[in-house]
Amino acid sequence: MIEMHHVTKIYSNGVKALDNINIEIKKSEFVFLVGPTGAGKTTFLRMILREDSPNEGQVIIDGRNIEKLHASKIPYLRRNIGVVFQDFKLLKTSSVFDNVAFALRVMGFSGSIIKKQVLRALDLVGLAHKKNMFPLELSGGEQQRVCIARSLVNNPAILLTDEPTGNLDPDISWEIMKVLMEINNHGTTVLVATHDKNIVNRLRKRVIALVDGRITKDENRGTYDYGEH
Amino acid sequence: MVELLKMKTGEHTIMENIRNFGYFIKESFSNLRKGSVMTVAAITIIAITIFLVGLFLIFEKHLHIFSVKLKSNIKVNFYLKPEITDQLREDIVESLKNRDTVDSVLYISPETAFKELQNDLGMDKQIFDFIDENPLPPTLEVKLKETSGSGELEKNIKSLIEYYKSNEFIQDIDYATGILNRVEKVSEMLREIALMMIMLLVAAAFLIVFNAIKITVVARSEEIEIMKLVGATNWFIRWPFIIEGFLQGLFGAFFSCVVLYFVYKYGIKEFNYVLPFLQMSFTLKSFLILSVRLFSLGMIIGTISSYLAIRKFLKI
Repeated sequence: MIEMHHVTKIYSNGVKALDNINIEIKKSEFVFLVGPTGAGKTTFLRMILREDSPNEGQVIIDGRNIEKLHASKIPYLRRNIGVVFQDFKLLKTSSVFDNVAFALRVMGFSGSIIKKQVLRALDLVGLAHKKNMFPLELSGGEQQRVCIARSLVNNPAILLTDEPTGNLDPDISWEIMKVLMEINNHGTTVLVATHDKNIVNRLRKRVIALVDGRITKDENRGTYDYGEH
Repeated sequence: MVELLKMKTGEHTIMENIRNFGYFIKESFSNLRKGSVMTVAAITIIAITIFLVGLFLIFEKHLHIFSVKLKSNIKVNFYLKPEITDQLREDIVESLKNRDTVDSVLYISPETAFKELQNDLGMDKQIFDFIDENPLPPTLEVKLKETSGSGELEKNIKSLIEYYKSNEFIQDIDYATGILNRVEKVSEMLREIALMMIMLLVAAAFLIVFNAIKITVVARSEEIEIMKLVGATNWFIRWPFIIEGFLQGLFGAFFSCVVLYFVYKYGIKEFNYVLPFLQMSFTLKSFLILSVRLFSLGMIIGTISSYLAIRKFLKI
């Protein structure tokens, strides 16, 4: 589903965020992406969403080299990729319902389908009863879950999450992980960039460690460590 | 519930945009309401610009009608020598009629001319008691064809005179183009000044609408970024802003047309008092034609400037 071949990304300020990355992630896999802050985890996710392009190498999604996608086709790539952002990226002036509906609206779905899908997604993250509230009236965990609902409302083939449990207490983190696994059970490829040692160690999924833009470890049923340097 | 979707990269843009049209219109109206000061400024400048363009078009139209009327009344009088024979006179008439620039030739005999003169003078007929002989020469009244370019008519007249002045049976040739030239020059000058002013105003209107939309775009840049990240096409993002600009143009045009209607309809008497020769007139039909043009102008200004404003901000 996701392949990277010799991907190197150097930002204009000279920082080498990714250094010759080679990886293959199969359909329906659940992958933790670990590593210290600044190791390139977020850049890794940005490459898949084509928010940014590598300086060298190729990123291949579902057999397609996405560097060669015409700019007008990028939205259609992104509709297959749900993203849970570190900073949530919710619209403060829109209700919970509208925030989730937003993702379907940009795709041109009709009102009745939007309503049905949004309520299902909110139900899945346990927030259906708060659909008319606004993001600032919710706790951090709840905002995170709205963000998750938005990312999965259109049944994406790939779900990218950047620190989905950052700053949340353990119980809520665990709830969120259960939601992500539920989605994964239905066939979505899930990538979780995280610092949450407990969760990684408890779930024993594939773990890819990034240090200074290089893959230092890639282990099935792995635990939380950065591997050998 | 989550099922794996196939990767789709097809173009559904047009269908999507049609389905989303209600949403676009709702969004653009809410942008207009939120925009307040800049929105008011944009609508005002469009209204002023279009009002002045409208006034200019009204004057231009009447000046044109006036100069056409003037041109069609220009005559060149050929005064023939009294001793000319009928045959020779007919030859001159024929040769005049054969010229490209000549529209018609009318022969006025001395007798007819004398009667006309008597009629024109009316009460003062008794002065003719002192004249025992008709002093008026036989005259050919030559009307020239209408010309489009300015100064062309005068050129035609001059070449006509040049051609006939050496004819021994023609006493004198008389014409009056002075007034025509002056009208043409004045209307040309007015047109140039007005055009320059309008170009400046249209440019200002473009800039202000551009900035009004830019401010809305910047205020919503976070939202635009999220839209892009969840897979909105550029056109999906653009439409509400373009419609917003379009609506600003529409409202501006509407206000200016309302004012123009009253100025045109009720102010016309005042205009005619100041500039009586223009003989301006108001008809609903001409006003409607004018309105269609002005509305188009407003919508073009609004739409294009907002398109340019949003274009810069879509590169994420």
